[in-house]
Amino acid sequence: MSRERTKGAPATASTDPSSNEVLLEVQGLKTWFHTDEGIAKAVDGVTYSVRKGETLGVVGESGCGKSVTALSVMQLVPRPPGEFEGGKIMFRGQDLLSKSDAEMREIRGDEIAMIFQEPMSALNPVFTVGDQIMETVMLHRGLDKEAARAHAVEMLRKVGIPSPEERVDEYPHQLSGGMRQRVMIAIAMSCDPSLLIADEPTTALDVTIQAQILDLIRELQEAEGMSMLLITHDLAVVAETAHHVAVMYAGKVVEYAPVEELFASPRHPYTIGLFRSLPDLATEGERLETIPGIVPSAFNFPSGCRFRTRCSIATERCASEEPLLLAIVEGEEHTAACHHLEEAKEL
Amino acid sequence: MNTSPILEVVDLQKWFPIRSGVFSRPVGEVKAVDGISFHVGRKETLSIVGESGCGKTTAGRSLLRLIEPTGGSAMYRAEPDSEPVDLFKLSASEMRARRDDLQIIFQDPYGSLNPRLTVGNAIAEPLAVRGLAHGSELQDRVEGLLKLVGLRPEVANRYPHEFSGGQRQRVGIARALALKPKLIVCDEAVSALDVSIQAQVINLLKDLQDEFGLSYIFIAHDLSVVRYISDRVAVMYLGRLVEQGTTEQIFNDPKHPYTQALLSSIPSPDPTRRKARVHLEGDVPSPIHPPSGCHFHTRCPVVEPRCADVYPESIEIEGGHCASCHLIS
Ligand SMILES: Nc1ncnc2c1ncn2[C@@H]1O[C@H](COP(=O)(O)OP(=O)(O)OP(=O)(O)O)[C@@H](O)[C@H]1O
Ligand SMILES: Nc1ncnc2c1ncn2[C@@H]1O[C@H](COP(=O)(O)OP(=O)(O)OP(=O)(O)O)[C@@H](O)[C@H]1O
Ligand code: SF4
Ligand SMILES: [Mg+2]
Ligand SMILES: [Mg+2]
Repeated sequence: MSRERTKGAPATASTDPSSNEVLLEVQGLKTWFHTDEGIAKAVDGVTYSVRKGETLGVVGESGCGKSVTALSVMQLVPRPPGEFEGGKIMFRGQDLLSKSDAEMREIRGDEIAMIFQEPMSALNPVFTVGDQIMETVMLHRGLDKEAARAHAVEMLRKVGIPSPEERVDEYPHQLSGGMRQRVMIAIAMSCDPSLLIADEPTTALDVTIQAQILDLIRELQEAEGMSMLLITHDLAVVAETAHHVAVMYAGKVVEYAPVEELFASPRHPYTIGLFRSLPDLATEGERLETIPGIVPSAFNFPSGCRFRTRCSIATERCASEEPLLLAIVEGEEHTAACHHLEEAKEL
Repeated sequence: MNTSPILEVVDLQKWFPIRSGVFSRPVGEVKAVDGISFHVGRKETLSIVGESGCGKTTAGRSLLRLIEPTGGSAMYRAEPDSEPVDLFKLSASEMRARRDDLQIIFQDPYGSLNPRLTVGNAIAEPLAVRGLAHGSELQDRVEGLLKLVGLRPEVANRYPHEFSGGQRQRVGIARALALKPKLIVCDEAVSALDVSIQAQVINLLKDLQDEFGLSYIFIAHDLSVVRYISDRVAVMYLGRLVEQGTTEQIFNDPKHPYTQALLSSIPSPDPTRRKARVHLEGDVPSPIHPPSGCHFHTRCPVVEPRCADVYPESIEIEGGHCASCHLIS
C-alpha cells in the first residue's frame, strides 16, 4: 500500500512511527467480573501491542471489552467484582499487574494518562475544571499554584474552549458535553504522558473541533513521541489517526492489521460486516446494513468461534474449535481469527 | 409530511446567569440559545448540527422544559387537527402530562440513569407510575423494549455501572420509547455506538417513524448519520441558527460559510483518502461575549466590513432553504 499523501494536506498519521520498540504489550489478558448471576468474561484473552510513537486503533462491537481492557491497563477496574484471571500487561518491559497501588498511582497521569469514555463520571462535580487540571500538574509536574493556573488556562485554550480565562472557574455541569470531553483531554495531556489511552475521545465533538483535537494529539505525538491507544467506533477517525488497528469481538481480538490494509481488505467476517454498516455506503431511503443477530452475552459465550452465531459462513468446525489469531500470510502483520478466511473473501 | 407541523418554535431563548463572588450575584449571562425559530413536521426528522457548545442540548432541554426557557414559544399539536398549545405557557402539572408525548434521549447516559435502579426498573418506572402495565405484562414490555434496542432481556436485573457506554446509551433509548411518545429529542443518541449497532438503532428509529408517525429532533455531530436520517437540517452557530433547509439543500448546496466549513471537515472512512480540511481560523468565540454583527465574522473566510456591524437577517433562498449571511441576496 502506498503511504503517499496529497501535497498540502495536513500532517497525518501516515508518517511512520519512529521505531519498532514496543511500549505496551497486553498478552492474553483476562479480566472477568464475578457477579450474582455468574461470571462476565468481559476481557477473555486479549493480546495487542502499542509501539513507541504509534497509534493503535481499537474498534469493535459495543460491550466487547474495549474499555475494560483499557481500564485494566490503568488498573482502574473495580475489584471486586473485577478480577484479573490471566495474562500480562507489559509496559516498558515491566508487568503492571505486579505493581503496588502506590507504584500505579505514580505511573497513572505521569507515564500513562487516560481520557475516559464518559466525561461526567470522570470529572469531579464539586471542583471547578481549573482545579482539576491544576491538581494534576501540581502533583505530577511540581508547578506552583500560579503557574498551574496559567497552564490550565493554556490547556483549555489548546483544546478549543472559548473564553478559557472565565471557563477555568466553571463547574463541569456548566459546560456542554463536548466541552467536558475536552476538559478531560486537557487533563490527560497536561502531564505529557508517554502513553495516552483515549476511550472514545471525540464522540461528543463536532467535526471541526474533532479535527483540531486530532491535530493536537498528532503534534504531541510528533514532538514527544507519545504513543496512543485509541478506542473509537468512528472508523473515519481510525482511518485518519491510527497506524495499526485491532478489531475486538466478544472479549477477544479477532483481527489486527496496518490501517491501510485493514480498510482495503478486511478479512474477518465480523470486520467485513462492520464496514458494511457504515451509513456512508447506503444511499438514501435504503436500510442500513447490519450484522444480523445479537451480541453474545459475556456470561455465556458460544463455543468455538464466538462470532459463529451471527456468521453467514459458519460451519461445524466453527462451533467445535476456537480459531486462533494467526498471520494470514506467513511472516506478515495482518492477523485474523477465523477458520474460513478463503470463504470470507466472497462475502 | 403533514401540513400542520407537530412543533413550531419561535424565537427560543435560554440564557444562563453567570454568578460570581460570595453572594453569587449575577454578573452577566451565557446566551446559550439566543432566539432560534424552526418547525418539526409530523413524521419528520429535523437534525440540529453545529459546533460543540453552540447550544444544541440547551435548545432540546428547553423545549421539554427540563430547564426553563428564557423566552420564545413552542406551539405543539398532538394531532394534525388538535388545537396548538404553547409548551412554554403550560403549568408544571400540565407539562408533566405532556411529557408522555415528548421524550428525550440524553447525551450523557451515565448521568441520566439512577445508579441504584436496575435497568429493568428504570425502563419499567414510567409505565408503572402511569399504571400502564403490571406484573408479567410489565416484565414482557420491558423485555420487548430491551430486545428492540439489541440488548438481551436478562440484563434487566443489572445496574447501570455494569454496562458498557454503548449499552447504557441503548437503555436510555429503550426508556424513551417505553411510553410511545410522539416526538423524541435524540441528543447524540447514537454517538456512543459502534457502526453496526448504530445502524440497527437508526433502522429502528426509522421503522418506528413509519409505523407510529413519530417525529424526531435529532442532535448529532456525525454528519454521515445526519445526512442519512434527516428530512431537514438546521445548522446552529453560537446560539443562533445560521442555515436550515432540506437535507439535499444543506448537503448539496450549503450557502452559509459556516455550513460550508463544517461540511468540508467531514473525515472520510478511508485511510488512502485523507483529505485537506478547511480549518476554521481564529479562536472559537464564546457565548459569554458573542462577537458583534454576524457571530461568525471572527472566523469567516469571506468576511466583509459590514459583517462586524449588522446581524444578517435570515433570508429564504428557495423552498424553505434559509440562511443568515450578508453575502446572500
Ligand atoms: N462492573 C461490571 N460488572 C459486570 N459486568 C461489567 C462491569 N463492567 C463492564 N461489564 C461488562 O463487560 C463487558 C465489556 O464492557 P466494556 O465497557 O469494556 O465494553 P466496550 O467494548 O467499551 O463497549 P462500548 O463500545 O459500548 O463502550 C460488557 O458486556 C459489560 O456489560
Ligand atoms: N447549567 C448551565 N449553566 C451555565 N451555562 C451552561 C449550562 N448549561 C449549558 N451552559 C452553557 O451553554 C452553552 C451551550 O451548551 P450546550 O450544552 O447547549 O451545547 P451543545 O451544543 O449541546 O454542545 P455539545 O455538542 O458539546 O454537547 C455552553 O457555553 C455551556 O457552557
Ligand atoms: S471461524 Fe467460522 S464462525 Fe467464526 S468468523 Fe470464521 S467462518 Fe465465521
Ligand atoms: Mg467503552
Ligand atoms: Mg450537547
